[in-house]
Amino acid sequence: MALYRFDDLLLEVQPDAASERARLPSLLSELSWTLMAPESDDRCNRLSLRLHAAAATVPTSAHQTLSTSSFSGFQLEDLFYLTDNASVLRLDMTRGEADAYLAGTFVDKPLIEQYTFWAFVVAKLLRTRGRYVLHAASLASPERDLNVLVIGPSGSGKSTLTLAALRHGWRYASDDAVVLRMAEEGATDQERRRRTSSVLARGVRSHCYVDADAAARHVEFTLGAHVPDTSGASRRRVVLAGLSSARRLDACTPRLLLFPRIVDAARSEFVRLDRVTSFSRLLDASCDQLWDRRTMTKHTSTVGALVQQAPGYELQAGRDVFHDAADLFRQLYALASDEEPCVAS
Amino acid sequence: MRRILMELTDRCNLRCRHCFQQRHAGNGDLPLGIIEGVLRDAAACSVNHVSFTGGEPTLHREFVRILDLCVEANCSFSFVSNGSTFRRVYRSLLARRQWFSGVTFSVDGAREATHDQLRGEGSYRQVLRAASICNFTGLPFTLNMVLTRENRMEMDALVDLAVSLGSGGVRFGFLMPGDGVDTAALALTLSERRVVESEVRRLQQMAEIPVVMAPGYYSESPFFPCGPLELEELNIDWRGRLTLCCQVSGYWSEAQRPDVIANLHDMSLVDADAMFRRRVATYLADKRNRLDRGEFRDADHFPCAYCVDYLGTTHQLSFYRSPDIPGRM
Repeated sequence: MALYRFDDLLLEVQPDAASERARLPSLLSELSWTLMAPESDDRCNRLSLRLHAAAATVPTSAHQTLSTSSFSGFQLEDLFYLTDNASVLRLDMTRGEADAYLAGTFVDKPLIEQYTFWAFVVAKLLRTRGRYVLHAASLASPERDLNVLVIGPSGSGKSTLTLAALRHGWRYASDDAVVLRMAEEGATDQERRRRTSSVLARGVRSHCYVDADAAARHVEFTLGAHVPDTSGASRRRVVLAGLSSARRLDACTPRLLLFPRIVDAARSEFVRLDRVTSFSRLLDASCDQLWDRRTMTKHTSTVGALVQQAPGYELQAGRDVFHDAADLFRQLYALASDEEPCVAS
Repeated sequence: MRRILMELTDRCNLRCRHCFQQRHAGNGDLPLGIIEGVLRDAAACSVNHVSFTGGEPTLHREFVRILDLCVEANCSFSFVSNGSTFRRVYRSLLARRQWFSGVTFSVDGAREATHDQLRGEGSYRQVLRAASICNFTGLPFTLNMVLTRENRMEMDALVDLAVSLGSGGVRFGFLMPGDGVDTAALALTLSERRVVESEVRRLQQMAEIPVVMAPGYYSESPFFPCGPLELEELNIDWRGRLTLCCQVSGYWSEAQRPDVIANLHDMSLVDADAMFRRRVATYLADKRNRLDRGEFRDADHFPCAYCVDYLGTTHQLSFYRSPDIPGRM
């Protein structure tokens, strides 16, 4: 059995051999799950994934709830099934346990399809514990304790802004996705009052990628080989090996939400958004599983709490993001200073 | 006090399988001049609430102006919606929150696949997003499900969904078997409707939120407590005519509209209301005569069936004469 940790969650994966064949260790690492010693902390919330050799099927009474080009999802009460017609994964949404039969053909699929399959499963497992995936980069300023989520779909400028922030000494958790959760109640009354309704964001992927077409704009970074992305385009991993651990960020309490949009302008501008617009855009940027009936209420409540906690701005990102973002970050500090401290009710 | 149901437009951006076919080619809006006149006369007719229907009422080109007219007329307002336009509408509602009594979102499946099969792909997420915005902003809303063969098994789940979303209630209604509606595939038979009604009564006992049935369900009493027949409700269609009832509005072709009572292009709401009262009095007298003659059939206990028959036989009436009703003669 292998044990992986993400935040205060432990994921048991067994057996090891099947897990290796399915490339799970590297895929889980890509999703920021850390391999732990088997005797790790039992107080953590546990999830499990068991791989089986015996073939499995989706019950005919299950309703289809998901259809993508590579797999389908079915729901039967608290059980969720994910299948590509050969392999079948059954997820118990109450227990946070998954059982999978992987057909021999599974490992022959393009890596991106396997990654998408497991990323979906992990996101679904996380939902059973009140954690919700959001397409966002997570950044923290080198000073002033300013934590920022940069939210938007692929191509909206999250990675570009992330790399610009790195050039200006910012800390970094993820350029693509974070997991939101309500903060635990604190140990003291004072902490409890401060933390009870705040939302934490934890980076899902520690690696940063840029569109291959935009590689020339990031010459100061070492870029890896071309890899396909989910839209069929090509991207390249930014090698951040030189980034010190002090520049790495695991989790933060976001204080500002940025919704970037690349515009044809020399200078970038920030436009304040009302809370409902921020809320609506956060729903757009949430994973497809947002509308899962069993978990949507807590998910939308978490998103609502995030909006109460962090004001939102549209960043109309001009060309300065690529070569001269110092003024942009000065503006960002000024915005944060102007905002009243916001405590969620 | 009374209310007006105002069909703001026959345009809609969805193509629901259970909707009247002519809606899908609709291009007309209720003229603003008619709306101004109606709201001017609202107080004189004891009206203090306006409920907007359609089509999709938010598609009316002057929707926000119409909300202001309601405010100026001291009328609260509500509307039904498929939720697709809510992102551009909610600010107008927040700004007039004091006058806004709620939006009823059409959700025809607790499951995404069921809803989207009836109302079109992507419509489920649109309407749930709209409901989430309401919940976030505190704008009141309820859900409405048109019961069909494809969603009748999801009634419990819809109530659960409504509770999850923060809805103020759920309303179930029966499909009207009009032109272009795939009645054979979708409409519940009269006996199935009775079964479904008992399920609604069970939900009413169990649910945390109010569960109601839209008019059209089986009534032991021949004198069903219907808004228009109790003179509590005036229905105005998108062409600017006062009609008997929103349930049967759009049921007949334009050449044959026995439900039309008055044309508001030609007269005031006050005068039209007087005609409406006379028409309802005639309707009720005719019903008493039918009862006295022993001509009240089992199917007539479904009020819409009675009205369709009373106002004039159409080909849809054959649906209401289906022989499956228990104890039918």
